[in-house]
Amino acid sequence: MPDTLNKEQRDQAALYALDALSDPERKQFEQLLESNPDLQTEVEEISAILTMTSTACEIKIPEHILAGQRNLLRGKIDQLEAESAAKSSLVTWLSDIWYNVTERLFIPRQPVWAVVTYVMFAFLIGRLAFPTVNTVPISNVATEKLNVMQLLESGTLSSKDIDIYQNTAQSVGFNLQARNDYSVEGDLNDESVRQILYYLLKNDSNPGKRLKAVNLISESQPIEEGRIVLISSLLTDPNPGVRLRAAKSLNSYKPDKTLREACIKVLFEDENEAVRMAALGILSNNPTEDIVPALQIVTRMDKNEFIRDQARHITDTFKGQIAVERIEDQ
Amino acid sequence: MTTKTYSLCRTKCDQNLKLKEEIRQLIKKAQSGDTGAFHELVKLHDERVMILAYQLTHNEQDAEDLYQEVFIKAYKNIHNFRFESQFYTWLYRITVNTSYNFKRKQARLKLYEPGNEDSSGYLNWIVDSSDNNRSSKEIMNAVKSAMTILPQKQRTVFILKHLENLKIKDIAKIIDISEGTVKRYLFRAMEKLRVELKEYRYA
Repeated sequence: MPDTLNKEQRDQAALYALDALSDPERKQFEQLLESNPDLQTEVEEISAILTMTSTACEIKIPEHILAGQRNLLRGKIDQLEAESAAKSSLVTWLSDIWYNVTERLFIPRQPVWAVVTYVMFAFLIGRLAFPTVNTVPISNVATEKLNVMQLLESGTLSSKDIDIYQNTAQSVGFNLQARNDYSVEGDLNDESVRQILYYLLKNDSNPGKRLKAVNLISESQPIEEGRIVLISSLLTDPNPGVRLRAAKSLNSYKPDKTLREACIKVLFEDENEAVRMAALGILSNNPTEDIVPALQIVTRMDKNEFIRDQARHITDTFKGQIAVERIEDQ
Repeated sequence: MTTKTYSLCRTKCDQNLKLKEEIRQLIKKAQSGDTGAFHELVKLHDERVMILAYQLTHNEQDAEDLYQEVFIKAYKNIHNFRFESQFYTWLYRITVNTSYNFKRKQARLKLYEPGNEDSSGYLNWIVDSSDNNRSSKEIMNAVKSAMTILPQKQRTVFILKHLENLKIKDIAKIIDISEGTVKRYLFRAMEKLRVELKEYRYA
């Protein structure tokens, strides 16, 4: 950094190199630059740093990552739409009631009817303004008459009637619309909460809700039952966003034979590149000899070049390991 | 300028105008509730948003979360877009503001979740444009750590100007500060980067 320059000149040099000067400022600076070699050195030094930062920070995002994110977003927006549709149908229903009330009751012809009408009207407004939402800790739910899982399994309650909401990082709640706005809450690792989440992931038709369920399952402690549900979701869920999330969640589990076989099935059959990529990621966590033949097929058959390369990379690493083991044996 | 160069420029300008008009139509459709049009808008802009999200967070998982949050906010608020700025500037503004909230939230969560550092693992999608030799990796790490030393706003301004090539007035709108402050942040950021990267500048 040349010492002959003052602070203002250095600042101007930085802005010039960053192309942040206005046209008149730039012209003026360029005139100064021609006659001042120290300033030229200053600009060169700054430009060198800038070239270095732009080269080092250059990022390219593979299309399959963006495709996966778009799928996830689609699922979330579908859920938002479903929720707003439910709200708008409620609004229509309320406006119908309003119309009937105003038409038939609110303009009564006799004073007695007027009093009755106003009392009823006040009562209705009170009910709407302060709905009685019963919140029961989930641990109590099993002991009380309202057992959500029993209701779901018996068909009394449909998964459509349940809305999931998350209170804090570890607490989750369910609104049961069909049970007079009953709401149950519990810890994410509570057995009853898990069972409801598994049920919703397996049975709900709304991809947004399934996505929410799979996200919550992935936030809970990894247990065997959760792993099986996630594998089932990875293999069978119609929504690629949900399958992708299930695959990412399975990354926290040690891959055993079942998981490896599921991942291989995904690699062979899933149409979504992001999901296949995630399955390959799981396999790469702890590669074993039995996956090598399947991966060799992937290296030749997969449509995506990146997946083919990564599969080849795993098989190559594995070959290297075998070679080392053989040398050690000898 | 030769006739050929002139016609090439003209074609490019026409294409840009066509794209701008296409985006305008998509925004109008999205504002009237057409989700398909919104997804088309996402497709046209999401790569830039994802890159900015990564540059702001330096973490793949956070960048993906930020991406989702930004587009959900855009979806919910698209009716508020008044065509007074470019659509991507509006998205950038949401991205920057969301990343600030995100950082605040993370700072709170960090108290409970130790080890929240970047986990660039097997599915690393950040592709280094230069060769993968040791010195270039060393420079990349040096640049990365130098960038993290910068205060949040200086870093954001530097990223938007130098890496995203935005105009000073657009940056001022995105961060909601004056153009003079943007310039001040820029040369302060530059001063710090020069000190941090002194030994690598001619590498």
